[in-house]
Amino acid sequence: MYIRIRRRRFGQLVLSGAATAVLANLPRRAYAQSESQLYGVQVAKQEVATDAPNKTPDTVFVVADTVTGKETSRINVPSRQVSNLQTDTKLDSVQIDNTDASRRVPGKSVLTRTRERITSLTPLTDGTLAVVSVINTPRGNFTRVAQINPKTGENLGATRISGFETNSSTLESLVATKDNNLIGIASFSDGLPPFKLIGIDLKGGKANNAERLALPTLFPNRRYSNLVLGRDNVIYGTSIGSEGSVVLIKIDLNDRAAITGRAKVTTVVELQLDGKDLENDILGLAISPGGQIYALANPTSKGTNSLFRVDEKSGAIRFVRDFQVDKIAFAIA
Amino acid sequence: MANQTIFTTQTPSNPDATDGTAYELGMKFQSSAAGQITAIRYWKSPSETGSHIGKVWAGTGGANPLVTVTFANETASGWQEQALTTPLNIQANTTYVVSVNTNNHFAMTTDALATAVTSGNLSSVADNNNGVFGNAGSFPNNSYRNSNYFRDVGFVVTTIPTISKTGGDNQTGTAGAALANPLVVKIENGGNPQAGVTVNFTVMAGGGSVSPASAVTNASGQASTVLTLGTAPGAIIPVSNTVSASVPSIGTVTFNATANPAGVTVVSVFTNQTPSNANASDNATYELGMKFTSTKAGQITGIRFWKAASETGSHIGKIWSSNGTLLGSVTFANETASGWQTQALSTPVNIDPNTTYVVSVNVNSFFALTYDVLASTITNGAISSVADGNNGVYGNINAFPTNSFRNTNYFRDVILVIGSTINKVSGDNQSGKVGTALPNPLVVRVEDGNNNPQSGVTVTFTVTQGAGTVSNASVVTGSDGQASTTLTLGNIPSGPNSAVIVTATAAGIGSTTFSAKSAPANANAIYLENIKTGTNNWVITNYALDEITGYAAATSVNKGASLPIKVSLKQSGSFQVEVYRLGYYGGLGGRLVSSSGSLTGNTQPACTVDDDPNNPNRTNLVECNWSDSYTIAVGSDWTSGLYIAKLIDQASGKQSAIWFVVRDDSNNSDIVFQSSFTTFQAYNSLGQYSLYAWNSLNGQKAIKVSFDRPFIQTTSKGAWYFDSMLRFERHMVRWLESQSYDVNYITNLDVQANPQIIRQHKVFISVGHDEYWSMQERDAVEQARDANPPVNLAFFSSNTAYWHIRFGNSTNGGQANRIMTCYKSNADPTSPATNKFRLINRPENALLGVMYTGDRSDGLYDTTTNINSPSYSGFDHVVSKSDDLYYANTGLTNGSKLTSLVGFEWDANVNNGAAPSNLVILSQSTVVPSNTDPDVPPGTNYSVSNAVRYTANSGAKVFSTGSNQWMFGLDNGGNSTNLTDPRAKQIAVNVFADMGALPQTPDAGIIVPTSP
Repeated sequence: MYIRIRRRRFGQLVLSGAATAVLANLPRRAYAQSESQLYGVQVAKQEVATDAPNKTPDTVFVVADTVTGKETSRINVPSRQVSNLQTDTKLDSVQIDNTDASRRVPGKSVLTRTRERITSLTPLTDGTLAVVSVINTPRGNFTRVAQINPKTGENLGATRISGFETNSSTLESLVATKDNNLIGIASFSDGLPPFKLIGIDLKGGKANNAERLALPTLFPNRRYSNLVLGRDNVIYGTSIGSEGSVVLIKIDLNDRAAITGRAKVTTVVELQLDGKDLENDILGLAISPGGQIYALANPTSKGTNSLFRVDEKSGAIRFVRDFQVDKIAFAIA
Repeated sequence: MANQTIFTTQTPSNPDATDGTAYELGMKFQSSAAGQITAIRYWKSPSETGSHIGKVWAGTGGANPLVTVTFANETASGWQEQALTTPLNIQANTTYVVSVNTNNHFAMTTDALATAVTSGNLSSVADNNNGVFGNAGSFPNNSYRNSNYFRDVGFVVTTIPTISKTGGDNQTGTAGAALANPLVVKIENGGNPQAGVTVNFTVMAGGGSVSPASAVTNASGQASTVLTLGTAPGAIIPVSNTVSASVPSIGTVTFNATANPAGVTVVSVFTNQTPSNANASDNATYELGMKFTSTKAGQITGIRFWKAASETGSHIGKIWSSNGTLLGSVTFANETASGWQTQALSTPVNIDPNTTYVVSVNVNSFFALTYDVLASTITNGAISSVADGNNGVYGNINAFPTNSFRNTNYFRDVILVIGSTINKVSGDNQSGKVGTALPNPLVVRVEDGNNNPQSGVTVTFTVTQGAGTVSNASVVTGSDGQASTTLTLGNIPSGPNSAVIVTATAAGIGSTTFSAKSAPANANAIYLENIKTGTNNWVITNYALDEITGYAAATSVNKGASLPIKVSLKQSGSFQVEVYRLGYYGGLGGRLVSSSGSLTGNTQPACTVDDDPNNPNRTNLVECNWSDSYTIAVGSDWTSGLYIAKLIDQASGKQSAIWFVVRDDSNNSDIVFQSSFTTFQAYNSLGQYSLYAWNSLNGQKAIKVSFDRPFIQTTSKGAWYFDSMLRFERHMVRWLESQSYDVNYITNLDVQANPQIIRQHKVFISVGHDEYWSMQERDAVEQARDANPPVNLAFFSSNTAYWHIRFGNSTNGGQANRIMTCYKSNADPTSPATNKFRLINRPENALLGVMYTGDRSDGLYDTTTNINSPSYSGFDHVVSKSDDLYYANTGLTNGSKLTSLVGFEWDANVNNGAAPSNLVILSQSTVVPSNTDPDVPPGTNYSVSNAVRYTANSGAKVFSTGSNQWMFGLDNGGNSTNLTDPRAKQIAVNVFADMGALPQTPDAGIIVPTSP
């Protein structure tokens, strides 16, 4: 059934400074977990602190009800220091603990801007939500993961992820399997392809090849993003190539190719809005406990992102409401 | 009996031809009965003057003819006949050559001797190398298009002494051993045995000996000798031995024998192994291979693979070095339904002992395998699989396979013949003036099965195509295993495409060929440019990430002008600019034109990005506003071309590049080559935004892109992109310039700025991936096609003129045509919208004849594993109208295939009513798209790609390959896959010839049609 949600509930933009302060001081409320509870997160400000590699950015954590259409909470989550601190935190000189032995030459960046970007919001098996944020710096890129208690909005802890193959790498998406494997999409090029599926050791703060999982090899000339775990324990996501059409993909870790021994990436359906291909990738993907797929997208390049319901069979996405967040997720009940 | 002649009523199609030089022109002929040559004849051209000498030669040639006669009392033209003072006896069924010199003009009919011309007992020899030409007065042994030069004899069958073989011919034995039966000849006269005649037996080839060397005929008229075959050191294949039996006053016969080398070993890795899963599939294409090694050197003469029962499509076997250099490849023919398939390599691949190689064969869907078995070495004699824990190997189709899973045997194998090898050392691909010796000798080296130099091997150097002589025709290898000779190019510029091929042969071991080209008369600028010293230093070997980048103030510059470039260093310091022109240059691909010396550079201002997420009018435009760092002074003597300014950061050694084109606006060359700078820019994601979502930040594409920024394709972040000047265009440039086509270069932006710029040329060509056109460019090209005189169009590209773009001024400074807008939808507020041309009522097939329908970008190419040696695969170009003039001289028939030339995007004939009514469908190639374009008429067959041609009402010829990568059939140039095909080259020559452009130095073997 199509649920109409009043725009003023989902369409709220960035909070004013005063409102942010009020919401940030809200007591740690408990929220019921249900089919309808959708979470969103956006970066509060794009300015980058000088010690950004050692802390997560200020974010806004949003809770909304997909049934009533009400945005039930909007909380400012302040930045938090990562547990694995570095002593040298200056953006232009910090060394990054990646496997790439070569270092980026220090200096001014004229081609890559230094700014905060949220690349994933994903439920973990312990019930928390992981918020992945990245910054590009002249010396390399930094990825940090914050764990949010979806019931309270509290930032429970933060870890900086290193161990990528290159200093241009970023973590562009993250998903947790039921058996608690964290799988991510790493960019080799400041957020752009080529991409690679990797494992993430959140406790150790390290990226790894996760050879045990036999993750698929990705084509270098395609974008892959928005990983999310389905009820069938299959990973879903989106992909787009030079042809320009966004497709829903799935990765079944138990369905492996005979030659490579690796899991396969399979196209599920091409996503379309009003019968036309999407011009841009969607911004977020979430699957409700009941199996409904939601997409966050901005297909008409307007000032506000919107929530869409995805028909898995036809690929049609149908507008639900404006929803000004960067990423969306359902939590694990 | 009256005199016989070969020609009776034949007349020359060109009775008054000339090359402006003197020749010896002749014809090989035989008689079915012995008799006497009584006269020599030739057809005289009306313009021919001077004296003429007729000659008859033994078919094997030699310094002196068997007979000569000077023509007297010649008429002005037509058949001339001169009786011999003394008739010449000739033997039955023996080849002779009749020739007459020509001083300037001659008569000819091309192709007329491709089949034998028979009259009475006489006939011409149809060996595909008759008639013959050479330097005046010398034995003529060159041939071109089986031309009849109208040389003939008068002949009468009569009783003469004859020599014939009566026993011992065509025996086979072991090298070094005496043949079982003697070689026996018989001398007769009118059927009567002639006793007491001395017959000389001489070993001509093979290195054996005869005993006795001369013998006197007995009462039966017979004489005999015994041949001990040559020892053929190092031989691994049978060696031909020949012995002549000669009586000077009567004639000569030749005995042939074959010496099988003793102890030759032929091995493969697998013997009786069978797959545990003989019909597996992942519904994907792969390259499957196996690493192997041999304890002995030898030659790989063939490739094997086990074919799954459900597998279809074509298969290419490949031999690679362990670092991924392609050493040889072959397309399998005559495959059976399943099981082991074997295909011989046309040129064996020499391998060294105790060295790892990889054999691979592509799979289209189904394959055979057994897991885990290559964890241990499988050995068969000297050859074995490599058990390194990562064998067998798999990868993208037709690419060097490097991945491994469970030590799986995919049943890829070779046929290895163990023994000696002959290898080129130096001297190949030289060029020089006709009549002069090449500067460097042609050097080969023979090595034994242990890879040691092999001395004492006779190497014969033979001019097998073209005109020329070698200083030493037969050379014995020294202690270093080497033998060499010096080639002097012949005086005949109209040899087979001015090329001279020398074959170096070590009997029983193998052969290798050297190629040399002679300078054309009235050489054009492209030829003269390409004989300059080339280099491969233009290749970026240490790509910068962001240490050094730059862009030019314009995408092209006219010669004699100057081009400012803007360079930014991440750390201020010294840098250098080296300017290279791309071309052929003997295969090196570039030439250093200028160098800046050390310059001081700094960090330029950060580029602006219009991507505020709160701005609904954001365009994601990335635009830089850098100051000039250096000005390239383009000399007035620079040749138009594609240029690379290589930027070198001296502190880090990192390199980047700025691409630009040098024009020659006053030049009216045959061909104008449009470089697709608009498409390079559309895919350029520097600053994290391109016109594509897949390589833009957060998957959100730009609506506008600027030329005021470096190309990410010139950095390590994007050097692997498929839209690059170095991807498709470089190969077309290499081929065009290797053939010395008369060509000038421009970019799309030049057509935008000056639509008339293409009018001064015969042919406009679009190459590779030329996807983004402005309306001004579309109009300019169509109007040029329809003009009087018309400009012909050759689209060696696909997906061409697909997106409509609009140019605008730069934000900073207002420079025209620096910003490119493409909404890719009707959201564009300006009309006509920057959308697909087909959606704004200008379907591409109205211009091209075809239009884009689909592509397959997943796994068809690999540009990341080795940036400077990418691999490509594709679908076969399938001929559908082989009688078309564009397929002339290719030997292709309907259904014939040119391997993997269709991809990775393609076009097809589409029934939308816009294609020209006289469209000719040249190919119907089956394709399997992973992406299809929805904006085509219902019923469009997405599984077919077409190459087409049509003639516009103006008379303009238009040709479209319908494929991005068709030019890989013309040039390989550093790719790790070799898709070159001489038939593709012939097609391209046919296309350009029909459009009025002819090559000055076509490859040997290419037949250049006469320009219309």
